[in-house]
Amino acid sequence: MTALARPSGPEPLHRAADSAVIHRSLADPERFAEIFDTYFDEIHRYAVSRVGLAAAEDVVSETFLAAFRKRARYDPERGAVRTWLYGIATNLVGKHRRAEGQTLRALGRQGVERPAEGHEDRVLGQVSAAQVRPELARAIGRLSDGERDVLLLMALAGLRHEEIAAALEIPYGTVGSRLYRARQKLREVLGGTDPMLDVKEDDRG
Amino acid sequence: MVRELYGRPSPDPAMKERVQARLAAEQRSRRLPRNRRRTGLGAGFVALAAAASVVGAVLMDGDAARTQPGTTNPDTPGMVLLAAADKIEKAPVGRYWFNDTFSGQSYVIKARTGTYAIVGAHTESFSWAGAKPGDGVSFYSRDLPARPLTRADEAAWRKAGSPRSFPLAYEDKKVTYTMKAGRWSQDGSYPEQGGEFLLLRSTGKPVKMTFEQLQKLPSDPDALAKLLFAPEENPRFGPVTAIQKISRAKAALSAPITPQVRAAVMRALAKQPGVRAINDVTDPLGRRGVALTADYDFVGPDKPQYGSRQEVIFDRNTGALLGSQTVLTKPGGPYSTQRPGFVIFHSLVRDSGWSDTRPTPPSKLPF
Repeated sequence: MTALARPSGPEPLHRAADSAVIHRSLADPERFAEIFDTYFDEIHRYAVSRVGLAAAEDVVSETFLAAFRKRARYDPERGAVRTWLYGIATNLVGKHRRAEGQTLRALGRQGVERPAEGHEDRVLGQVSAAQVRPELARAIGRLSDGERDVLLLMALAGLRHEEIAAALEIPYGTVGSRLYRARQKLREVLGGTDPMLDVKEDDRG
Repeated sequence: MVRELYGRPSPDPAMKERVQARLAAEQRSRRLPRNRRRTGLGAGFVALAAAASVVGAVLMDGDAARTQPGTTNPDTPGMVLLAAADKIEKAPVGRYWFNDTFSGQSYVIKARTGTYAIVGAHTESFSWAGAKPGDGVSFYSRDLPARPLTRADEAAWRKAGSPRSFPLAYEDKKVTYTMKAGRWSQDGSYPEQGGEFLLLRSTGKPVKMTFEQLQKLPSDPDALAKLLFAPEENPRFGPVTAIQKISRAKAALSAPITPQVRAAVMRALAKQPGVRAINDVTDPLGRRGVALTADYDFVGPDKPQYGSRQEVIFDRNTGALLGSQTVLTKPGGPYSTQRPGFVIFHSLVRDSGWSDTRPTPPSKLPF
């Protein structure tokens, strides 16, 4: 996991296409709908996961409105559109820390607010999560806001170190140290399990 | 595991339409923005660490007393450990298996009168599971009061005026630990469950076993090691490290296994490369034990500036699991003022066993 390791997949093409769309949307605002259509679902998932259904709408709509308003300032050199959107969404989550706390407490209890959909490990996942859920949720709640943002950008959004650094505008080394601390704090409640190990880091580069 | 906790929220087409409508209105109302020079996203947003007088420490595996490797005992650590394994007694099986554990994180406080360490993020967890399906599973927890880590820390804390609360700051998080105990809260109750016990793996999927399956685990250490320390199915997790083996062993020892298997777990772990025995360890409750330990071997950008090891501790006389602790081996980073042996984190077993009636969490504090 180094800063230099780049994936050879289609991601750079996406980035070029996305930034072209952003660029064209400067002259033709309607073009921004393509960005919206491409990324609404995952930003929505991320927002619901972090702040719950009630506050998610605010986070999601503000994310796309802010992205639209700031699109002239989008800099493709700094990261993909997707990364940029996650950064905006994460900063908006920061305005809903109370909702985030409530969501974590609900997740710790049962997570009834959102049934998991068609996951192959669903049964085992539910059982194992039920056993560690309360403590894991509480431990995530106890992380610093910065640690939690970094952890969840990796776990939920699947961003890599350098993408998280770009999304949050923090140094690469800070991403590493926050992630390290977050993992360590969660590891104990999982009986030594690395909390991130269901994230296919190598698949994502 | 984090992903699993959050699950996967369902799509919400209605919300999508609402947001789309807002965005469309915005698109129509906006005049073309001037094509400004690209400025990037700005350089700000770097959180400054506050409160230089306090170092918030943040590791998560270990204990709140200093360990003293025994040098006067003629027995080798391994022998003492194996002797302890022999002493494990058979307890009658009951209807409910319970675990009462508590954990705490050590924080170094640099007072004007001298540096001392306190235990914060101090939590007691109580859980029980029925031996049979339908007997239920319940989880409880409460906050424990912060307290000085060792006698020496207590003396330094008194010198500092015996403060009752400890405001800590690191990164952008401020938290205050106080010497007030919290109340028990029920974190979850699953009356339809029971009869299954989870052996958390260090990587990948947890292993779930029924009570009957647990009773049938081999009591031969080598056969057990093959099961317990088996590599993950997915090769990308690589070989199982000594630290992970300690975690797996601890998980197994927290489950209702037979005394023979319990002894076999200890023997199997003791034989693993990178794992060594320590003869004389005192835990934060003052209980003396023997430990099996392995050094943390971090590599890469996340490598901390200090060295540490993980210990799993056993009662010397009964072989019972006492808990685990992360112990400083090489001072540095947030622990540059501490000596080797400083306990960075502890997770101790207060009580564990069978009960015929539904167990309830104790009101008395563990110390």
